[in-house]
Amino acid sequence: MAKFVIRPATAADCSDILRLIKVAESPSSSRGVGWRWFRFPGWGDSRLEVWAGVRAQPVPLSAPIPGPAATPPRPPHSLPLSWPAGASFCFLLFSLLCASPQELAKYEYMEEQVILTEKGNSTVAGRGTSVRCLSPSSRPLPSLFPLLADLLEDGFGEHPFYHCLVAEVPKEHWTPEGHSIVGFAMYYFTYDPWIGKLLYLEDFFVMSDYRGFGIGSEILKNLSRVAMKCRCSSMHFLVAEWNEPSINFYKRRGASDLSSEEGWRLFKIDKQYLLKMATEE
Amino acid sequence: MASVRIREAKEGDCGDMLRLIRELAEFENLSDQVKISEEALRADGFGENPFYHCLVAEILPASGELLGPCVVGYGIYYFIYSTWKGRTIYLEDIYVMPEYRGQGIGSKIIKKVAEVALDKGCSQFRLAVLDWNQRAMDLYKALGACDLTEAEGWHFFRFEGEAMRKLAGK
Repeated sequence: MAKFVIRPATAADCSDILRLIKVAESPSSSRGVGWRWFRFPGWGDSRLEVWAGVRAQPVPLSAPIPGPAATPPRPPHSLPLSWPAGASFCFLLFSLLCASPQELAKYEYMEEQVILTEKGNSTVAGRGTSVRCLSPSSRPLPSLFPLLADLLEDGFGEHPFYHCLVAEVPKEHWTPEGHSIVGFAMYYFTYDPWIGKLLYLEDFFVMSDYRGFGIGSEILKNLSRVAMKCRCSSMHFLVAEWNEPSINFYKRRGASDLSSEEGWRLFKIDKQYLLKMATEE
Repeated sequence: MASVRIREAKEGDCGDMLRLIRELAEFENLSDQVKISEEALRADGFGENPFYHCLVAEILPASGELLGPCVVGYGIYYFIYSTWKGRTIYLEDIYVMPEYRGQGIGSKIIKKVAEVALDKGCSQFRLAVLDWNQRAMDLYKALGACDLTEAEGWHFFRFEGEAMRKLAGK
């Protein structure tokens, strides 16, 4: 690849940033190892296909993969299949070809009831049943990705919550759909009361066809320069422990794993609990 | 009887804040890592573009007592962004002096931060806990928190000092 440019994003880049956020999370992207996709032919109908994706440690080739014969029709609230051992996170993918809002609602509700069962026993697989829905169709499920308007307001409005760098390629290297933006990094500034400002890398993605040309390294270089220019003493980010390629990429460049080294754990509190706290006496 | 008030920190609180930040570092057995100065805290939190926000817990003396109000705890938070969840609030530090624990002051601070989160349109509240701090983990879980490191395998990574300079090509 002859030339590419890493530059700060502008408001006009928002639709490309949203496009890349969706590509990064799509099943075909498989950020890191261990994406396995299983189709449930006994579910859905002629207009609706149901798939489940599992992010897990690499599965030995001998592990059974459920095929049509292994998936008898089941009521939507249970999933008695042999998941690969070690599955810790599951995406449920609905390919909605032309579902009505009512059907959509029915399947969104279903997501709350899906239970994973580990092969040979009925306990919940992995260490948690985080189930999310993804749809690759032109009708994205509402709660999944930010709306373009939110991304614009939150990044380029009066109070920016994030900043972005984008990787742009010249016309001869545009994507088949005619896009010039092929990678991005989303970051913001955080604060450590012991040392001061930090740069936090929230998201970092280069389209798979554009990897291996140094775009990722160049983005990281730009980010480090931004950090130093803003007098940040370090750059923090999260990596999933099963994501070996990313872990290797960062460790090769001198990053340290604070969770392993110092014992830090990330906790979250969802909105329903915030409301509970705020309204309780 | 003394009462507790949770209020927004003012520039004049920076001395108390630094005292408590040092106490928290001591509690985490990492006190040699506090490099920040009162001036930096003031500039970074109370300048034109604040990098953090702070709430302090103040004990208000009962009428008739000679001592004025005193700061016995704090919470430092800021706003972050998630590509999935959008606006999020992040509680960076929370600390209550040992002699004032067990009275619900920590919970009051967290509740106040939750109110700020909702007020500013945040859909999630995040924080980090050290794995040996069982008391803190229990408190957060009782309030509805979920351990994402355990549930989803997320690890905190860092490029710092020399590693960051090398990345920058300097």
